[in-house]
Amino acid sequence: MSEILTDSTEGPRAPLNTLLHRICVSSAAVGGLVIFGAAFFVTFSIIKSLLGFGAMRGEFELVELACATSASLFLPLCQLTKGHVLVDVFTGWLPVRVNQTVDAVWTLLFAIGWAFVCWRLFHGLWEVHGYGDRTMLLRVPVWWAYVPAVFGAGLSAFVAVVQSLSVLMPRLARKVGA
Amino acid sequence: MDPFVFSIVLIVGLFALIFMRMPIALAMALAGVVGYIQLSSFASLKFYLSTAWVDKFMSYDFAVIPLFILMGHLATRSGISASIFNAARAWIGHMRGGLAMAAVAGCALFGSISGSSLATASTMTRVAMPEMRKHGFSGALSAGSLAAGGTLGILIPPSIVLIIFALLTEQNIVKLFLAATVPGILAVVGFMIAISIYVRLFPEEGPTSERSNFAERIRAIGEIWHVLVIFSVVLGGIYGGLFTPAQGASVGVVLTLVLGTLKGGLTLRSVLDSLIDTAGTSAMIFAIVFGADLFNVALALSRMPLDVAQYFAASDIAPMLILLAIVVFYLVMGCLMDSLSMILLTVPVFFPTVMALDFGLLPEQQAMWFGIIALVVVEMGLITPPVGMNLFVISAMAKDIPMKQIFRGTVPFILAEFCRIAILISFPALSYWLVDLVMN
Repeated sequence: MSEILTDSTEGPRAPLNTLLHRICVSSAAVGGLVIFGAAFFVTFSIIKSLLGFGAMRGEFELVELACATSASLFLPLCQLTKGHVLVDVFTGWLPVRVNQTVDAVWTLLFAIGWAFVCWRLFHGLWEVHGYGDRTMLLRVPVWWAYVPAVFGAGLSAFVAVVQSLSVLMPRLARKVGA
Repeated sequence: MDPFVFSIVLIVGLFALIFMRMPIALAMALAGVVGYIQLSSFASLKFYLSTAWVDKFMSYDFAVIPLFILMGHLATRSGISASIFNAARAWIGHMRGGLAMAAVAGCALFGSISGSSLATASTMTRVAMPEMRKHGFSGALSAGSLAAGGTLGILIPPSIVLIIFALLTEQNIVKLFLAATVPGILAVVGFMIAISIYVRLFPEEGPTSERSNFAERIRAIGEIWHVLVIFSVVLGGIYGGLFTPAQGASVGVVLTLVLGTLKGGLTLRSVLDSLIDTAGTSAMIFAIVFGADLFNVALALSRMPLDVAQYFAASDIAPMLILLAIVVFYLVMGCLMDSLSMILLTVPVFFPTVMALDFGLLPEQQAMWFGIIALVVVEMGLITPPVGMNLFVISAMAKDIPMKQIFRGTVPFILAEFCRIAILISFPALSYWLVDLVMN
């Protein structure tokens, strides 16, 4: 899988970028803790049922909720670190400047995409909230799962805008501290 | 426009965007959006997107992916790769080219608790490369065996790409894991044979090293007991029907954490880093799955996959010829794209086509057979230029070995892979008899 950079720490970061980096890493860490927590819960449930006390109630639902939550919370960091896979075989010969500009245009498109998804998910959140659906066993309102999704898509959109503008309109970007 | 023609335009456009550096997840989503609007309507796209992300990933099956990724990252950071390599070395290191063989065996063992090829290649390179170079192994052979060994991470269960294939084609993950075992062993054997032929042709490139005595061998195995425990509890539990895959992965995370900490390899810092690593790897996969899903909905709306399947099922072209054409396509594209994107992009079209062909197998057997072949063939792309990711990973870690030598080092392994693909295609039973044996 190409272009997996864990961190783009080149030179000193502008204040906005530092802030974004912190938020994205925290979001990812929380998502990681959610998955971690689910793993512990499931293991505990298995041990409990092996000892004859019966499995934990709602294990299945908890894992589902954890998966949706972490998937959403992981997104912004992947955007920030340019972790999305791309093919650079056919463009490797082009000048760096050209590739940077092309990447910035795609990143802007990414921003529009995430913003659109975020807007739609927000609608989805309201609708599901209106239905009052809850999960079967844990009685967790289903709209809860939409909150991290709206956050993850929205933050990814913002990160992508900042990234693409800092290449396409460097002067404007510097003004806002990116 | 005729939906079939439109779907072809869509696919061509998608590849054009991908080759113009557009991130694959974005390109697939964009093509999907265009297709969705054309074949349905903007209103229904809006409706679809208001729940799609959450619907897709609020899923018990998908949870297996971040869980296994977390387990793999914990294993990577726990420093077990050194003891794995030492154990393999104690047993087979004294043979001709033995350290390279130990590297391959180490990769296989590491692959049994990690579902990623890149992680396997990079973590084993860190421990095995310096040892091989110190004992006079050539750069070509060292890099080649590690690059090839790294591909085992993807095939030997747990395998992330195999999970994705199972979810896409609604196959049983457990059965597919089992199905990958024999082909995985076949790969290890093939690589070993490749090494032993290579060092006989070029003896100066892979010298022998000292033999370990029996006590040392037992001690080396004792150093990796926790790996064996994790491996047997997780996969044994899953195969034995004790756990679902998600439960197995959860137990794997906890076991790797506990044993990794007890053995002194994991600290709070490295656990936190594993969480961040997991976020990066998982998000990339989730984004591609989401994009591919949009694209595949659009394709399904055009009915193109069905039309293609029906066309080939009704035609009098030999089924084997069609399968070979697909394999060649995978080999070529595998050189340009990563395995996960390839599987996500092609399986929705190729799978119904292959399933409509008559190979004289049961549908389930045929599905497993095709899945394994597809996986083995795309995984070859990891060690073929120009986009062999394993090669780049190794090259970045062993800067003293010129890229040209690394490419040369992969040649014997690529030949071995061709043999394996031919064997797997000729003998479909290799991909399903273990499943029949264990499950029925």
